[in-house]
Amino acid sequence: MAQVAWHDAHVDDRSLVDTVLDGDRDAFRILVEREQVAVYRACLRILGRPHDAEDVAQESFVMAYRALGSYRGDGPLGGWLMRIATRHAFRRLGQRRDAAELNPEIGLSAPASDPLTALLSGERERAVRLAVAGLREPYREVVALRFFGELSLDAIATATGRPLNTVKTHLRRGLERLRADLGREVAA
Amino acid sequence: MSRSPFDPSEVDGSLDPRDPAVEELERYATIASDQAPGNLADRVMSAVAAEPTPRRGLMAWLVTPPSAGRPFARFARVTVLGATLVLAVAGALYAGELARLVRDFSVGSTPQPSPSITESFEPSPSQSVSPSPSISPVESESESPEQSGAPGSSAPTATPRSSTSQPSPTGSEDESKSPSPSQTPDETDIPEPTSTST
Repeated sequence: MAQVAWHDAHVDDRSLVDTVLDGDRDAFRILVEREQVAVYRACLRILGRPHDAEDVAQESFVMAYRALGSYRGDGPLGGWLMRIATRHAFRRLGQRRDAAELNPEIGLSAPASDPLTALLSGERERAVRLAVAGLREPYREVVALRFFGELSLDAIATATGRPLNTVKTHLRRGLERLRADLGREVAA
Repeated sequence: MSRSPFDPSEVDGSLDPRDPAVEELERYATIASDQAPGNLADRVMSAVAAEPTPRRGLMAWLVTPPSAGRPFARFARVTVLGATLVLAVAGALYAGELARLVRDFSVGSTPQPSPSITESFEPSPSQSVSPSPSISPVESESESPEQSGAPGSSAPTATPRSSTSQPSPTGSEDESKSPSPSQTPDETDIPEPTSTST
């Protein structure tokens, strides 16, 4: 099998995927190492728990590996992968909310000296997570990909297959709804 | 990995730069910026090692389990799978029917008299008891040429049989079986009296 110089940063996504599809699993490790930080962060921002985020990130990579043959190569692989991860994380969040909350979420920020400050900070983070998770599609997906996945709007448009102006409209409307939801949460 | 903060101008400047929702999201994203655990890649690769090599194109699309977030994709996949199944069954049925027709045609094309036999059989299924009508055409066909070819001495022997068998059996047996047997003896027996009388 022809070995691609993976350490070459200029290897494009399509040839990386083709090599994996040809049976070279090690090529997939390059993809994982390249994208794991972004994927893990997105999962953490959606789920709020490091352990859950790690599990979901791992499962997302496995799902991406299974579906790698359906990657069309018309956009960056990172965006395609991020879409899988955010969807999976929201799905996990829904399952978790359905189940009993045995261990409550703790704040992700650095532990504050004042317990009250730490508690308020944790509540605020939770309010943001729930507000985003409570958005309807497609607004939730666009907001999550932009703020949690840190994709550019162009990358979101490519990954979702929507026109750029549609993505902008979805983001604007999503933020409008989020503003109202977060305003209610803060007031409460 | 450095963060790429949101710029309100990304949405064509229609957003307030101090939008509270954007500020909350940005603040939250800055907090939740942990690095991925060091062994995540190893965990992924050990999980991937148990997976078969992914497939390309349509097969990958069909085989990969659909995600819950895309109901239309799920519907499309189920539709395609169902249509494929229906087409496969219809194709198999059509092929079987075609093979049967070809076989019937090849079997039915070699002997010529088969259409006359099938015609005599068609009314008889309504009777349910039809050994005698089915036999009688064979006898009449085989006997009538001999009788017509033979001199008139053999003809009188044939006519009493038909004349005795025709009125009384049809009267007694036809009622016991069904009204339709009167048709089949008529067709088979009519040639005999006409051939004998002339």
